Amino acid sequence: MTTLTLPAPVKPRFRTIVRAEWTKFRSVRSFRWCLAVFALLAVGTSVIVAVAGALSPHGPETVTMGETVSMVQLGMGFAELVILVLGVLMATSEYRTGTIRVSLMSVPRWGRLLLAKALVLTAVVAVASQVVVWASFAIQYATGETLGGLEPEMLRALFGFAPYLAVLALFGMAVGAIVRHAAVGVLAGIGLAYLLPAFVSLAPIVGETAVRFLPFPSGSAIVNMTAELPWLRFGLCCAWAAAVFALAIHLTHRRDA
Amino acid sequence: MIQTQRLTKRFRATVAVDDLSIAVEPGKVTGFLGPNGSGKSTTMRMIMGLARPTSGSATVNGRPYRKLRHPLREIGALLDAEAVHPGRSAANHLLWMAQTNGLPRSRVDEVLGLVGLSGVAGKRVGGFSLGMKQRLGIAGALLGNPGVLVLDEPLNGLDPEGILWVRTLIRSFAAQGRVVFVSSHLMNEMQDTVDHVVVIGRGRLIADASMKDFVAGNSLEAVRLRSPHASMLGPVLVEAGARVSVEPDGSLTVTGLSSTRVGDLALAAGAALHELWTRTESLESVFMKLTRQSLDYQASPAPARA
Repeated sequence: MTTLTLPAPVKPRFRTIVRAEWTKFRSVRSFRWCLAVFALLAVGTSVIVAVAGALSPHGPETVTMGETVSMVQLGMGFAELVILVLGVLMATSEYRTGTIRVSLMSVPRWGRLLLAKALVLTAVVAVASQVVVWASFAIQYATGETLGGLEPEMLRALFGFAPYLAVLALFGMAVGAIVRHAAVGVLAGIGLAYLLPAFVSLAPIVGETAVRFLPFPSGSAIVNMTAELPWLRFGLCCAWAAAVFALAIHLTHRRDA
Repeated sequence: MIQTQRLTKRFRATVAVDDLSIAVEPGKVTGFLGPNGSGKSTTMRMIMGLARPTSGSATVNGRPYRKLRHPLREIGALLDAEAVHPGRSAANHLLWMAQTNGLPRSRVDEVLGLVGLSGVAGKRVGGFSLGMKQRLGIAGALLGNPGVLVLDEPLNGLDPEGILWVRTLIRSFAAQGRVVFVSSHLMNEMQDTVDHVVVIGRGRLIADASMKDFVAGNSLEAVRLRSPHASMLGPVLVEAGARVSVEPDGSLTVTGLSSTRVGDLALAAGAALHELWTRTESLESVFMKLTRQSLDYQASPAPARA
């Protein structure tokens, strides 16, 4: 065996763990596939709407700016499920393959490990969402006659997809780290995001009000042009995500890997 | 150095590791032996900070693993060769590990060369054989050039050439004054490699001794002899403090006396010796003897056929 000298140890930095998480993310194909499917669903919906308009015997309809934004939202609505799944997989793929043990041995401060992973995930999702939203919008705008300009709440709804989907992904990751199993994680994520609000809204008297405080209905206020107090409600969603993420860190510390 | 103090791990009703206190010292290869399910892996996972002890503690260089700041620079471990994402290339797997501990990218190529995987650095791990994954796992353990090496069943899945390679590697590691802690459920695969043995069964310490003492202390050596005067010689040897048994072919098995002493006694008694040799019992059989009472699952002896 060769003897070798390694550079003197530096103080461990959060930055180096983030870089390692980025290496993990970019070196696995399934994550790239998730992003590709996400873009395809969102932009693809826009393309279908645009093509349908162009093929109509009356030619492209003249629409309001609000309707154009709605078409972008429609595509994003289909695509957000993929982001939720991506978040879950980000955590569960490590448990499925056993890589989690190598991760936990390499970074013994497990809270930092999960934070670094969350940072990479949310940054990637935010950038991807922003690109996809404006690509989708550009297709709608370029292929039809649009009346009126972008009102402030329309801009907020479009720009809001980046933070909204980033928090959605974080939710998925936290749930994934709690249940440690992909299929269970995806089901739990879907349950929290879509089924829980549906059930709660059925509750007599309080249902309508209570549902507004659940994580996803409150989070999606930011991408809703007509929502009241969108930022406050988005803040509530962030608080939910932070709580679930904190639980994930706590459980990771408590359980054996 | 690795130390455990009264280390105990309980899973509900079963005790996986029971009050285990050991010290794994530098400069020698320490074999961690026990049948499957005896608690070797659980002990190693507690040393590596992956499992919490129910009570007691485990330390690496005097500190609990979770307190190490650059763990890969102090201790390298191969716990499960299959614990790699199959979609990632060997080089990328080692790259992210290196990044977590502030190790240079060049180190990845070095360890890949060291384990003979340079040619498949860019290939996805999913297509690797178990032997290649073992090599990759060892590369990961060596990444930070650590002073302590922990290997859980590193010979599993290796071909004879690979086994020789791992043996040479861990011997050279110990020769450099590092700590080497290697588990195995097969005694004989460790026989020529380890300097010190820690044997456990059902989570309990059964033996913690140098290989030399372990061999001597378990009367591994017996003197065999063939003599036309065996019936006269037997009582003489017993009187001298030996235990003597008669084999079916009439030869004697003598324990407790050296072959020199047996030869001298035979001469004094006027007994002719046609053959005199020392038979070494295999470590495997001693190991079986030691751990038999602590086996969880044991095959019942096959019924004798008429």
